[in-house]
Amino acid sequence: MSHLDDDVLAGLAMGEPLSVTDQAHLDECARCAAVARELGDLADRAGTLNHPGPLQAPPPRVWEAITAELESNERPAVASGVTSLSSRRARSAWSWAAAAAVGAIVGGVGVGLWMARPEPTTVVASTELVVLADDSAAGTARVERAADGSEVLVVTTSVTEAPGADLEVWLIDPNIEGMVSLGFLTQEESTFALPAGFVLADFPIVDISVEPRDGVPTHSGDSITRGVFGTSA
Amino acid sequence: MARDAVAEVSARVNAEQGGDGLADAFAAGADGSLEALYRDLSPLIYTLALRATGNTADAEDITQQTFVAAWRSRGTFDPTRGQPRGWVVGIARKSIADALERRARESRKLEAVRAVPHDRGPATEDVDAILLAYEIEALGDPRRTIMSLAYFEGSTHEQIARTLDLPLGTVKSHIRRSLTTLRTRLEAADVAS
Repeated sequence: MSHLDDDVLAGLAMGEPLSVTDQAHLDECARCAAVARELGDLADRAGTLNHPGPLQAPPPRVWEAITAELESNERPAVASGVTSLSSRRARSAWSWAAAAAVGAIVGGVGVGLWMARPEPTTVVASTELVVLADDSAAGTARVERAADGSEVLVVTTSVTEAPGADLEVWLIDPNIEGMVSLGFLTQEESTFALPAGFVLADFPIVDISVEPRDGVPTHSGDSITRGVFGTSA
Repeated sequence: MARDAVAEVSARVNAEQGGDGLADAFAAGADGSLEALYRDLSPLIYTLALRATGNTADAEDITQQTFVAAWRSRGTFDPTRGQPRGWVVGIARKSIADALERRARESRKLEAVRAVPHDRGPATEDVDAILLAYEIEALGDPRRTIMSLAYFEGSTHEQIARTLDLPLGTVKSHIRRSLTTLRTRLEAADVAS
């Protein structure tokens, strides 16, 4: 049997009578009964509705916060021609996005104590790096301890260039509040010395940011690659 | 109702629909499509959030979360199923529900130590009313005018026919079609949530 036409069911919701055959169908058919009920509810609701008045537009800072949040880790997403907040003023949005990114990748972090190496160097922690924009693999970061106890961070990544800007390597705390700069990334495998007594567990997030050559010493908020060490040495 | 008012409203509604290209452009992640979507829909989303939470800070957060989430999950939006409005409203509903849930949880926690005035609770009826009114606007004329007269102003079908100088059958047929369209559009917003 074919279902009742929507027009017929809408007419019913408007109080128009049904033909005997249509009524018989409606009594038997769960689908048509459900549609009739929805249309009836809709007509009832519309009938009791006071016009809720004009819509209100959000203040301009909401759009600025959206672009800042997307820009911090998904640069291609942001519409061209949009003026966004300076990322330095967008610290809180950036932190939020960074925390979300950490949550998303922390499950994939591998930590190894690789004793098999013949050198007197031990890898005490390692992590995969991912490109924040698309979650693709970006390389690895590891902390190596030499026989004398000194430690270095070794970053191996294919992402080594940003047009007109430098790539800076940071270690960041789990709350995305404190961070230390280790220097600039200059080649596919770059090595950075860690100060003696540096506690990796306090700054377990490896972050590579795009830094414009503007002399501003703080993080630009424009992170492109990140990884997280699961435990410390 | 004056004819030029009708034309004015039609133009506005067409602008609100965002044109034909927006759904495809957005799904493809085209430059500027998020901005266009935001321009069209942010007053609706913000007003929904404001009514539900009664708080501008929450409403701003919800609006931000909704458009960020919409952009990030644009791959799941199917442009062949029409304008992204219902889909975005679905995301906003989820975000509103989360915010209210979070607030309820916090106030339960606080109540353990001190008396706290009770929340108004989710103003679901308000949200539905705004959405329904918005969708009636978006029907475009003459249906928008006919539905406004029929439901907001309580005019009879005969009165509407006289006011707009239309045959009674035409008025009824517009109302039937409008109810059907509204049902589909409001369903899209529900399914997405």
